[in-house]
Amino acid sequence: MEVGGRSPRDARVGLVVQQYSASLFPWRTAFDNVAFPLEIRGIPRRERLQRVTELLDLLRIKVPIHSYPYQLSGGQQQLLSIARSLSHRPDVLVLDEPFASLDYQTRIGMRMELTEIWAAMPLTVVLVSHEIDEALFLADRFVLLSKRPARILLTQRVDLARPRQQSQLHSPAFSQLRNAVLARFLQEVAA
Amino acid sequence: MRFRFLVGPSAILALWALLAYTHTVSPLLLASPHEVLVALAKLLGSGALASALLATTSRTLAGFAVSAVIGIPVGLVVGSSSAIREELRLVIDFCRSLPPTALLPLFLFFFGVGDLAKILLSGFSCALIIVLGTSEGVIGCNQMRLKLATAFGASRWALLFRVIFPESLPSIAVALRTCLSLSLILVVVAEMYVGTGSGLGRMIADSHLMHRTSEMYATIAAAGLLGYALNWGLRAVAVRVVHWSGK
Repeated sequence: MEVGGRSPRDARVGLVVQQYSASLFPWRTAFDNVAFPLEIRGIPRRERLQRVTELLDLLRIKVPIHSYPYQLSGGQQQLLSIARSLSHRPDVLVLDEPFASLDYQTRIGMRMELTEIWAAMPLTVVLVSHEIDEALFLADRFVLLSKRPARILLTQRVDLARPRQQSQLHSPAFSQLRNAVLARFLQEVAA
Repeated sequence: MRFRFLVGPSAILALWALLAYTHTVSPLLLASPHEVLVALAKLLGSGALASALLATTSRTLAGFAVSAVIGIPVGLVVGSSSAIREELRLVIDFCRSLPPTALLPLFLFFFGVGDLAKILLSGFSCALIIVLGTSEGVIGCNQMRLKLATAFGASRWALLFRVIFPESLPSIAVALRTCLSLSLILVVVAEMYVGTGSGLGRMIADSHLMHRTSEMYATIAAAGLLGYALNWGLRAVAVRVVHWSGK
């Protein structure tokens, strides 16, 4: 098995988890958090500064980079976690319920941010979510997992046009997809 | 009320003055406030108090530094390995339970009556507290952050120095504050022992032996102020270093 031409051990993986408060390093500034994957690869500070600045520009993340996580909002912290997971240019980005601990309006904004980030970088993203709508809205390929022990119940291509718009959530094509997936989901819940 | 914090000290001062000036307690045992002030001024004027403060402070800080230099690395190792922790558990628990002052004669025996014995006594006793505090910090590390750092490619060393150590700092800071107070206690007690020529403990013991009651109270007050100042200073440093703690 290979990930981005590398063995799984050496694969470059970016990881974002649900709990942003337990995810960022509170003793590091916003900048030093995002630069962490670069720092442990021995990349000198000058280059780190340059790459992190470029990345934040690219992602259009406007966060005071010398502030500490506890001085920032939840949405800003989660954006920083995402930026950190991308700073070493990973082959795969794993998002484990990245929006679950955010409030609803931040969550909607973050979805759009994520589609833009994904469009800006050559990257495979694996998103784990409990929200079927959210997963369908963001995905090219949708995989429904069963209860424990997890098996694949269904895989579904999502051919909605990109860039995705909020309005697509109400399109007939989207409803059709969701109904198909939801039927299988409810069947599993009842089982 | 802005000056509410002065109520406690004023009450104690008033009680002290009452007991002393009415001779409810014998002047041989309890010096009066103005006598203590006069004694304090004399000790300050002669430079005796300054040199005693200097001697005691430098021994206290030396013992404290020794304990930090030994305790933090050992604590990181003990905290990182449950096997080592289990192997050393009884040793650490026993040493920790020993009253450190009980070891004073032993340290005098091995290291002589000079500064070394005092510094090492405080260093040894405080190191145990720092080992425990540090290892608790390591054990309490947020597992999610460790997992994330590993996913980003951190080596064992990078994990130790860039995640585990900073994550343990709040716990280390608490242990260090305890130790600075303990170090002062041990140094003052050790100074009262034979063979010491300087320090607050020496001055207190001397004035006690020579029945210079007001001088004794003045020196005790100075020791209290020193402890207060050390604690305050370390807390000010800790708040800056461990700025994220509690947030």
